[in-house]
Amino acid sequence: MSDMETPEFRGRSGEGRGPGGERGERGERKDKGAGGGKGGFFRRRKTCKLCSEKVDYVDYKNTKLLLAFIPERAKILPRRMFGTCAPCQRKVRTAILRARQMALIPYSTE
Amino acid sequence: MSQRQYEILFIAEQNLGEPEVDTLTATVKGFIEKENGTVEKVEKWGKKRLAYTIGKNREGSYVLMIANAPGSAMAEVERRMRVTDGILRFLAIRIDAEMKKADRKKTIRGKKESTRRASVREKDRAFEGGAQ
Repeated sequence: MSDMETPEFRGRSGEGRGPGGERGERGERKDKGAGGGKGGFFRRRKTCKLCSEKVDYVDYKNTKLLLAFIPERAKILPRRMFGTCAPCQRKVRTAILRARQMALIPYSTE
Repeated sequence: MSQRQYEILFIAEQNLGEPEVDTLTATVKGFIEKENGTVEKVEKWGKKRLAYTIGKNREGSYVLMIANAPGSAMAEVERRMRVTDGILRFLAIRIDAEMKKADRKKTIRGKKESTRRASVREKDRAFEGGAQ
Protein backbone atom coordinates (compact mmCIF):
# COMPACT_ATOMS: atom_id res chain seq x y z
CA MET A 1 0.00 0.00 0.00
CA SER A 2 2.71 2.43 0.94
CA ASP A 3 4.52 1.80 -2.35
CA MET A 4 1.36 2.72 -4.23
CA GLU A 5 0.93 5.96 -2.37
CA THR A 6 4.37 7.43 -2.81
CA PRO A 7 4.35 7.92 -6.61
CA GLU A 8 0.99 9.63 -6.34
CA PHE A 9 2.32 11.94 -3.73
CA ARG A 10 5.36 12.77 -5.84
CA GLY A 11 3.15 13.51 -8.78
CA ARG A 12 1.20 16.04 -6.80
CA SER A 13 4.25 17.76 -5.46
CA GLY A 14 5.62 17.96 -9.02
CA GLU A 15 2.48 19.75 -10.14
CA GLY A 16 2.80 22.06 -7.22
CA ARG A 17 6.26 23.08 -8.37
CA GLY A 18 4.98 24.20 -11.77
CA PRO A 19 2.99 27.26 -10.69
CA GLY A 20 5.64 27.98 -8.10
CA GLY A 21 8.16 28.39 -10.89
CA GLU A 22 5.84 30.66 -12.86
CA ARG A 23 5.34 32.90 -9.92
CA GLY A 24 8.74 34.45 -10.35
CA GLU A 25 8.03 35.39 -13.96
CA ARG A 26 4.75 37.05 -13.11
CA GLY A 27 6.40 38.97 -10.37
CA GLU A 28 8.89 40.40 -12.85
CA ARG A 29 6.09 41.53 -15.12
CA LYS A 30 4.52 43.41 -12.19
CA ASP A 31 7.64 45.47 -11.84
CA LYS A 32 7.24 46.77 -15.37
CA GLY A 33 4.02 48.44 -14.24
CA ALA A 34 1.38 46.20 -15.86
CA GLY A 35 -1.42 46.45 -13.26
CA GLY A 36 -4.32 44.08 -12.68
CA GLY A 37 -3.95 40.32 -12.26
CA LYS A 38 -4.86 38.26 -9.27
CA GLY A 39 -2.66 36.55 -6.80
CA GLY A 40 -0.77 37.17 -3.68
CA PHE A 41 2.56 38.35 -5.01
CA PHE A 42 4.47 41.05 -3.37
CA ARG A 43 3.89 44.39 -5.00
CA ARG A 44 5.48 47.67 -4.09
CA ARG A 45 2.90 49.76 -2.34
CA LYS A 46 1.86 52.76 -4.41
CA THR A 47 1.58 56.00 -2.56
CA CYS A 48 -0.74 58.88 -3.27
CA LYS A 49 1.06 61.25 -5.57
CA LEU A 50 -0.99 64.26 -4.58
CA CYS A 51 -0.57 63.72 -0.85
CA SER A 52 3.17 63.25 -1.09
CA GLU A 53 3.58 66.30 -3.30
CA LYS A 54 1.31 68.27 -0.96
CA VAL A 55 -1.20 69.49 -3.50
CA ASP A 56 -3.95 71.06 -1.41
CA TYR A 57 -6.25 72.24 -4.14
CA VAL A 58 -6.62 70.34 -7.38
CA ASP A 59 -7.31 73.07 -9.88
CA TYR A 60 -9.21 72.23 -13.05
CA LYS A 61 -7.17 74.88 -14.85
CA ASN A 62 -3.95 73.05 -14.13
CA THR A 63 -4.04 70.83 -17.19
CA LYS A 64 -0.49 69.64 -16.78
CA LEU A 65 -1.35 67.97 -13.50
CA LEU A 66 -4.62 66.50 -14.74
CA LEU A 67 -3.12 65.08 -17.94
CA ALA A 68 -0.96 62.85 -15.75
CA PHE A 69 -4.16 61.05 -14.75
CA ILE A 70 -5.49 60.46 -18.24
CA PRO A 71 -3.58 58.25 -20.63
CA GLU A 72 -3.83 58.48 -24.42
CA ARG A 73 -7.46 57.39 -24.59
CA ALA A 74 -8.32 60.28 -22.27
CA LYS A 75 -10.06 58.04 -19.76
CA ILE A 76 -9.69 58.78 -16.09
CA LEU A 77 -7.25 56.29 -14.62
CA PRO A 78 -8.71 54.16 -11.86
CA ARG A 79 -7.28 54.55 -8.41
CA ARG A 80 -5.68 51.13 -8.41
CA MET A 81 -3.45 52.16 -11.31
CA PHE A 82 -2.20 55.31 -9.72
CA GLY A 83 -2.44 54.64 -6.03
CA THR A 84 -4.17 57.93 -5.25
CA CYS A 85 -6.03 58.01 -1.97
CA ALA A 86 -9.83 58.27 -1.98
CA PRO A 87 -10.16 62.00 -1.19
CA CYS A 88 -7.47 62.89 -3.74
CA GLN A 89 -9.03 60.75 -6.44
CA ARG A 90 -12.36 62.49 -5.84
CA LYS A 91 -10.72 65.88 -6.22
CA VAL A 92 -8.97 64.78 -9.40
CA ARG A 93 -12.22 63.43 -10.79
CA THR A 94 -14.18 66.65 -10.31
CA ALA A 95 -11.29 68.68 -11.66
CA ILE A 96 -11.08 66.53 -14.79
CA LEU A 97 -14.83 66.74 -15.35
CA ARG A 98 -14.68 70.52 -15.08
CA ALA A 99 -11.70 70.79 -17.38
CA ARG A 100 -13.46 68.62 -19.94
CA GLN A 101 -16.51 70.82 -19.87
CA MET A 102 -14.38 73.86 -20.57
CA ALA A 103 -12.58 72.13 -23.47
CA LEU A 104 -9.24 72.26 -21.70
CA ILE A 105 -8.98 68.47 -21.81
CA PRO A 106 -10.51 66.17 -24.44
CA TYR A 107 -13.39 63.84 -23.56
CA SER A 108 -11.83 61.24 -25.79
CA THR A 109 -9.18 61.06 -28.46
CA GLU A 110 -9.80 59.79 -31.96
CA MET B 1 -26.22 88.79 2.55
CA SER B 2 -23.16 86.81 2.86
CA GLN B 3 -20.66 87.25 0.11
CA ARG B 4 -19.05 84.23 -1.40
CA GLN B 5 -16.14 83.95 -3.72
CA TYR B 6 -16.72 82.58 -7.19
CA GLU B 7 -14.53 81.78 -10.09
CA ILE B 8 -16.07 82.28 -13.50
CA LEU B 9 -14.41 81.06 -16.63
CA PHE B 10 -16.03 81.61 -19.97
CA ILE B 11 -15.12 80.95 -23.58
CA ALA B 12 -15.91 83.55 -26.23
CA GLU B 13 -16.50 82.55 -29.83
CA GLN B 14 -13.53 82.37 -32.13
CA ASN B 15 -14.75 85.01 -34.61
CA LEU B 16 -14.75 87.70 -31.91
CA GLY B 17 -11.80 90.05 -31.86
CA GLU B 18 -10.09 91.31 -28.77
CA PRO B 19 -12.17 94.51 -28.40
CA GLU B 20 -15.36 92.45 -28.70
CA VAL B 21 -14.13 90.04 -26.03
CA ASP B 22 -13.40 93.05 -23.84
CA THR B 23 -16.94 94.36 -24.22
CA LEU B 24 -18.26 90.86 -23.46
CA THR B 25 -16.15 90.81 -20.30
CA ALA B 26 -17.55 94.21 -19.38
CA THR B 27 -21.12 92.99 -19.82
CA VAL B 28 -20.49 89.96 -17.62
CA LYS B 29 -18.92 92.26 -15.08
CA GLY B 30 -22.07 94.37 -15.32
CA PHE B 31 -24.23 91.31 -14.54
CA ILE B 32 -22.27 90.67 -11.38
CA GLU B 33 -22.25 94.27 -10.23
CA LYS B 34 -25.97 94.62 -10.84
CA GLU B 35 -26.54 91.83 -8.29
CA ASN B 36 -24.48 93.54 -5.58
CA GLY B 37 -21.33 91.63 -6.40
CA THR B 38 -17.79 92.83 -6.97
CA VAL B 39 -15.24 91.63 -9.45
CA GLU B 40 -11.89 91.06 -7.83
CA LYS B 41 -9.77 90.00 -10.74
CA VAL B 42 -10.07 89.57 -14.49
CA GLU B 43 -7.57 87.41 -16.28
CA LYS B 44 -7.50 87.15 -20.05
CA TRP B 45 -5.97 83.98 -21.36
CA GLY B 46 -6.36 85.00 -24.97
CA LYS B 47 -7.21 82.72 -27.83
CA LYS B 48 -6.63 79.05 -27.12
CA ARG B 49 -7.21 75.92 -29.13
CA LEU B 50 -10.15 73.98 -27.76
CA ALA B 51 -9.65 70.33 -26.89
CA TYR B 52 -12.65 69.56 -29.11
CA THR B 53 -14.84 71.61 -31.41
CA ILE B 54 -17.83 73.35 -29.86
CA GLY B 55 -20.34 74.14 -32.56
CA LYS B 56 -18.01 75.19 -35.34
CA ASN B 57 -15.39 76.69 -33.10
CA ARG B 58 -11.93 75.18 -33.01
CA GLU B 59 -10.58 78.04 -30.94
CA GLY B 60 -11.95 80.25 -28.23
CA SER B 61 -10.96 83.20 -26.10
CA TYR B 62 -10.84 82.32 -22.45
CA VAL B 63 -11.58 84.87 -19.76
CA LEU B 64 -11.25 84.09 -16.07
CA MET B 65 -12.94 86.19 -13.39
CA ILE B 66 -12.86 86.05 -9.66
CA ALA B 67 -15.91 87.64 -8.11
CA ASN B 68 -17.43 88.15 -4.70
CA ALA B 69 -21.18 87.87 -4.76
CA PRO B 70 -24.05 86.44 -2.73
CA GLY B 71 -25.16 82.96 -3.77
CA SER B 72 -28.60 84.04 -4.91
CA ALA B 73 -27.02 86.55 -7.29
CA MET B 74 -25.01 83.90 -9.07
CA ALA B 75 -28.14 82.12 -10.27
CA GLU B 76 -29.19 85.30 -12.05
CA VAL B 77 -25.69 85.93 -13.39
CA GLU B 78 -25.59 82.41 -14.80
CA ARG B 79 -29.01 82.79 -16.38
CA ARG B 80 -27.96 86.02 -18.05
CA MET B 81 -24.70 84.50 -19.26
CA ARG B 82 -26.59 81.63 -20.80
CA VAL B 83 -28.63 83.98 -22.98
CA THR B 84 -25.72 86.23 -23.92
CA ASP B 85 -24.55 85.86 -27.49
CA GLY B 86 -20.88 85.21 -28.04
CA ILE B 87 -20.37 83.09 -24.93
CA LEU B 88 -19.68 79.56 -26.03
CA ARG B 89 -19.51 78.04 -22.62
CA PHE B 90 -18.96 79.09 -19.06
CA LEU B 91 -18.24 77.58 -15.69
CA ALA B 92 -18.95 79.31 -12.40
CA ILE B 93 -17.76 77.58 -9.28
CA ARG B 94 -17.60 78.59 -5.64
CA ILE B 95 -14.01 78.58 -4.44
CA ASP B 96 -13.97 80.17 -0.99
CA ALA B 97 -14.67 76.92 0.90
CA GLU B 98 -12.07 74.98 -1.05
CA MET B 99 -9.47 77.70 -0.62
CA LYS B 100 -10.15 77.91 3.10
CA LYS B 101 -9.67 74.15 3.39
CA ALA B 102 -6.42 74.31 1.45
CA ASP B 103 -5.14 77.15 3.60
CA ARG B 104 -6.02 75.30 6.77
CA LYS B 105 -4.19 72.23 5.55
CA LYS B 106 -1.18 74.35 4.78
CA THR B 107 -1.11 75.94 8.22
CA ILE B 108 -1.56 72.58 9.95
CA ARG B 109 1.30 71.17 7.95
CA GLY B 110 3.45 74.19 8.87
CA LYS B 111 2.69 73.65 12.55
CA LYS B 112 3.46 69.95 12.34
CA GLU B 113 6.79 70.67 10.69
CA SER B 114 7.76 73.16 13.38
CA THR B 115 6.74 70.88 16.27
CA ARG B 116 8.63 68.00 14.73
CA ARG B 117 11.71 70.13 14.46
CA ALA B 118 11.25 71.30 18.04
CA SER B 119 10.92 67.76 19.34
CA VAL B 120 14.06 66.74 17.48
CA ARG B 121 15.88 69.67 18.98
CA GLU B 122 14.66 68.71 22.46
CA LYS B 123 15.85 65.15 21.98
CA ASP B 124 19.22 66.43 20.84
CA ARG B 125 19.44 68.58 23.92
CA ALA B 126 18.49 65.68 26.18
CA PHE B 127 21.10 63.52 24.51
CA GLU B 128 23.77 66.14 24.98
CA GLY B 129 22.68 66.56 28.60
CA GLY B 130 23.04 62.81 29.16
CA ALA B 131 26.52 62.84 27.63
CA GLN B 132 27.68 65.51 29.98
